[in-house]
Amino acid sequence: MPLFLEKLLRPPNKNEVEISVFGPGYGESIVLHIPEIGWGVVDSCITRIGNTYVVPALNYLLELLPPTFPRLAFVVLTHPHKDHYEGIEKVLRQYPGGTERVCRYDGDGIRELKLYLTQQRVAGNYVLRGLVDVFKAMEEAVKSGTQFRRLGEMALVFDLKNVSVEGYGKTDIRMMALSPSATSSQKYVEMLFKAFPQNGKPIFPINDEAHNLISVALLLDIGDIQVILGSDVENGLQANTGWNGIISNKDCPELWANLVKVSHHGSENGFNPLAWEQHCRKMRPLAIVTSFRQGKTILPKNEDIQNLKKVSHKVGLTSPLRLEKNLYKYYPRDVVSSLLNRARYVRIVEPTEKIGFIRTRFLLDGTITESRAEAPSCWY
Amino acid sequence: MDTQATEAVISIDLTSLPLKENLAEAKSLFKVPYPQKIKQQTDFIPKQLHETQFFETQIIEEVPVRLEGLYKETIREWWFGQVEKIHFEEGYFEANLKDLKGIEVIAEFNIDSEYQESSDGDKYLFPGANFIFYVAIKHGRGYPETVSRLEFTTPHIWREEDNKRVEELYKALFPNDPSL
Repeated sequence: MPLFLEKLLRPPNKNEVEISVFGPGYGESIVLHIPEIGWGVVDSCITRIGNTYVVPALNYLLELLPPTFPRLAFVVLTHPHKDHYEGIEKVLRQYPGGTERVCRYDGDGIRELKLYLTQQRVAGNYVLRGLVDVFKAMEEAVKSGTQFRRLGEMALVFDLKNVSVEGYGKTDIRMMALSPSATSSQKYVEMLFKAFPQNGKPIFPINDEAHNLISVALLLDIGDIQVILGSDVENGLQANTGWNGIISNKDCPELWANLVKVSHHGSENGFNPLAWEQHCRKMRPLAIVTSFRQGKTILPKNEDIQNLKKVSHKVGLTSPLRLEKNLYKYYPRDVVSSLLNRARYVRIVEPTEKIGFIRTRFLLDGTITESRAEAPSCWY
Repeated sequence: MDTQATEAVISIDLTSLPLKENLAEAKSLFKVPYPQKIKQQTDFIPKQLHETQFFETQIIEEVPVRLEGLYKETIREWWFGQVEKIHFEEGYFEANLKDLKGIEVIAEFNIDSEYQESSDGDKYLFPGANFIFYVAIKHGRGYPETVSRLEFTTPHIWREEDNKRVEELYKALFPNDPSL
């Protein structure tokens, strides 16, 4: 059964850039169409619609692109967090057109990450569940002819010079990784080392936020358009990490943008005023935020949205998260009363009923040809 | 520990198990060797829960579970939980729970006196710690009564032989990588 309304299934023109951001409440995924490059996917998530689990990016491509299913130009994993990697293996294995290149960070810390995952599994802790399968799917793809590209500060996903695009003329087309810096990777290695077990002592998982240290932010540059996909990059506690590391890098290109996928779900620790000053240098960009939840804290908070409104043309939020107070909708009376006796606070994360997403299409001169927030996504 | 434990019955509707992930988690929790890792209370014995049953059975299965004491319990609902944040000073922790149908629950539990008084309480409560929470009907003399329990897995104490297991598992998980 199709998940997207027919009116949404008009593919972009050959000369249009499309950025579709899916964020069903937990998880984030971006589908891009880039003239002369083709389709690509940055990160993936899984969400439950009714009784079915779907991969929004995969479903969207499967419904939008038949019957030809052109080869995906790239699939990028920005960092090893469940809300960003879930379903990438399905995109790689189930998209009928195949994938030209898979890209992820593969520098310092990845071997340590693999060792950490193994040690935790031996200890019975299934941290970062499903990540091994994502790595495996990437390796399978590479074995069957897909290119593997290692990402890190200033690495290129693609870089075409002097390409002719209908209705615009000649342009360079480039997608570049802005992070992680060498200092961030080093810090990540140190954190993993600290979690390595010692004989006779208990073994604990590391703080989940540590994986943000190797988040890959991306810059797409084509015609008169720049798009920044901020992944989960945080401000950075040191001068050379996170956004601080990106903006202090002398080789970093100008960071003005027509559209910014706001980093780290719009959280305060992902909002870097100096970076935003650069994003606004030419115009106030569209700011797209995906939501996230840890405990009862829901991101972005209202004040995060207000902050973003000050520096952007408008703010789009994909699928705001809702917590249901009425437990009786889901559980029988005796179960609810026991639950309430035992816990001091209980809420149910409301399942998503529709895949909301925010789709923006541009011509290469920067004209916006479509700017759509499909419910439950909305603009502020 | 009482070795004269009796059996109780958990009813699991296997038709309502959509998530492979949940199944894997269920299996991994059931496989936890007793008494090393499950804190004293209930001993889940998974002999009847083979992988094939999880994936192929389409009817409601009765899953026997051995319990302490001379009574039976029927599980009404249960969740896999993970501790997200601990507020020791305020005496509670935040957790994320998921039932077998995939419904996600956010809850805050008071840190029970058993943890405060126990010298090894902090071994159970740490960010990322896994637990089972269930609501059951207790049968027997003076019952039925609805009860709920939180059962934490303890952190694994690393042993010399675990390094060998890591080598083997690493090879299995990442066959194309150079061995450790």
